[in-house]
Amino acid sequence: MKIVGIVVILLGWLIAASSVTLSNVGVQLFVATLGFVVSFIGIAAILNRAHNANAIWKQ
Amino acid sequence: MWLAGLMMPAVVAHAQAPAAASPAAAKTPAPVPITDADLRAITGPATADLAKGDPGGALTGTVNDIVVSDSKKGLTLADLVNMVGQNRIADNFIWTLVTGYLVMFMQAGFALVETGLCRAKNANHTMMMNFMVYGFGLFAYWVMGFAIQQGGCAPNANLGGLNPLNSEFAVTMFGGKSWGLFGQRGFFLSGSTYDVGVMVMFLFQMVFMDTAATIVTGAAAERWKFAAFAVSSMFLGAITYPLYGNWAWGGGWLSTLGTNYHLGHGYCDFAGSGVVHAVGGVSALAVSMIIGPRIGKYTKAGKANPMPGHDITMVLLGCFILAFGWFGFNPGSTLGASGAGNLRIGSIAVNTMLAGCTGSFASILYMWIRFGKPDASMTGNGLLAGLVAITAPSGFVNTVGATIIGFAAGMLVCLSVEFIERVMRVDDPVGAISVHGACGLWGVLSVGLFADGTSNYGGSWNGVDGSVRGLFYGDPSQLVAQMIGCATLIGIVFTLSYVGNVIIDLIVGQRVSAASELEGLDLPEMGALGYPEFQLVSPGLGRSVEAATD
Repeated sequence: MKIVGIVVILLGWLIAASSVTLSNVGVQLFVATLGFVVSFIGIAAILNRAHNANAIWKQ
Repeated sequence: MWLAGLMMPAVVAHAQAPAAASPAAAKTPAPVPITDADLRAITGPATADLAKGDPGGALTGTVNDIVVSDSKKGLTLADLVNMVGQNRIADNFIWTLVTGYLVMFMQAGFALVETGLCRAKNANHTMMMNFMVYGFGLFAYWVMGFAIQQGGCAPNANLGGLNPLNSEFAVTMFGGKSWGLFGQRGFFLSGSTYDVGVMVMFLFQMVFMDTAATIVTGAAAERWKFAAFAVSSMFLGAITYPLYGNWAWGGGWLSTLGTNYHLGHGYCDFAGSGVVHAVGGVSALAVSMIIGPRIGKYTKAGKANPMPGHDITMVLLGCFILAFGWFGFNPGSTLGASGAGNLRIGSIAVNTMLAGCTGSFASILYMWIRFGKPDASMTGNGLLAGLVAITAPSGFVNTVGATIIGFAAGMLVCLSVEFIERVMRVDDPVGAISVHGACGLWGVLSVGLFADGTSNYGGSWNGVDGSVRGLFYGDPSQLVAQMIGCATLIGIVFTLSYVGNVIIDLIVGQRVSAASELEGLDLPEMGALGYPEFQLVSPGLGRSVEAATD
């Protein structure tokens, strides 16, 4: 799951970076923000959850 | 009618009077070129007069003090013009160096804040991490970090050109555009980069890198192995920080989003909310996740236990030192006090003060209303949050924008601390992830909102003519560039830091043993107590303590 998390995080960056290819600034802003949110989900919801699965306070 | 009749002759008389002969048009004298001979005719005070002393200063600083390149020729126009140029660069060198010294002193502030927010049994260890991050980070940055970050940043008009830093590695990306990735000049500051201007730039950039590195020590405190801290800090100083620094400040791809894709003036980060603070904050998040929370921080049900620091007076003193040092951090980022819009340094300093002030207001208000007391540690963190947030926009916004940015940061840090601790269950003893990570990202975005289009740093920024302007002042594309910068921070910088520290964990091991952690890191890791004359008593830490020591 940690590797899935990393992949999602990087995918989020790719989405955000690809906004440079678009022409409408409103759509660019939406896509860049979407990329940021995807990366954030990768960190908070996937990678962090994988770490907390074996957290010291659960042992 | 009769009055008009009386006046008419006067009017007619006036109209009929012959026009007075106009004086011959004054001749504009032809310009007379100044020659070297004219300069040599200017004399300064005689030696005998100077020997009598100059209490008023009227005789000191004259033509006698102009550096003459050829004593046989005497003073020439070339000498005079060169002196003017050198004085401008000297002003800028002094400004950049002295503000850099202030930023270096911030290390003391960070050391006090972090040590005060940790328990007494870890005082030596926490203080030593903040002390040695200076040395470890500096060494790594000298070896390769500076070259990666600034190796292709030339030209720079404020510091004499920096022309030896003229090689940037780039790849072709979206739309066939050149994306600079890292510099290739300046390893060990040797060869052509042994240059007076490069030395000034190195010192200033190094102290910024060190700020980023020290942020991580706060989040990982009380359970980080000293050896792992050393390696991790060098990794950040050599690779992680310089890469993002190149992309933003070294001529890399983020800074060219404006010239390549017409996104405002490209990614704009005046003094480093992103480059310094968010890089430190996301790296801190990565290390904290890998290292895990302190023993006793969470119950088996995942409820957070408070673990108060041992000296709040140290914390608040540290915050004051940081606020003082920030007067070097933000205004110093003009890299000069002479020419090219640099007189805006006063405005930048005032923006910095205001944002810190409103940041502390917002935090104290939040804590007072929410919990009934004005919490000292969160108030200190609120001040820092405001300062972190204003760092990127400080050179581009007005005072109203600065107060709003700071206030929002003060609120954000309180919310973020709760989110990180209670929702994500990531343990951060000092709130570094929230202060520097969350508020650093907010600072980056706020450029895209509040930049007011009045700054003028030589007529352009990042190669795009005109002044930086955010959404509220008519340029939404600037916000796009800032958002891409934020996405890069959490997408690439976080990942790089995470992977690098996972490798360090595999080789060196990041976390101390449970026994060391419960005893306190001072003796097991450092060999000496921070407070050897005091008997330290830890408050009860919950059931998971017994489970960890079984």
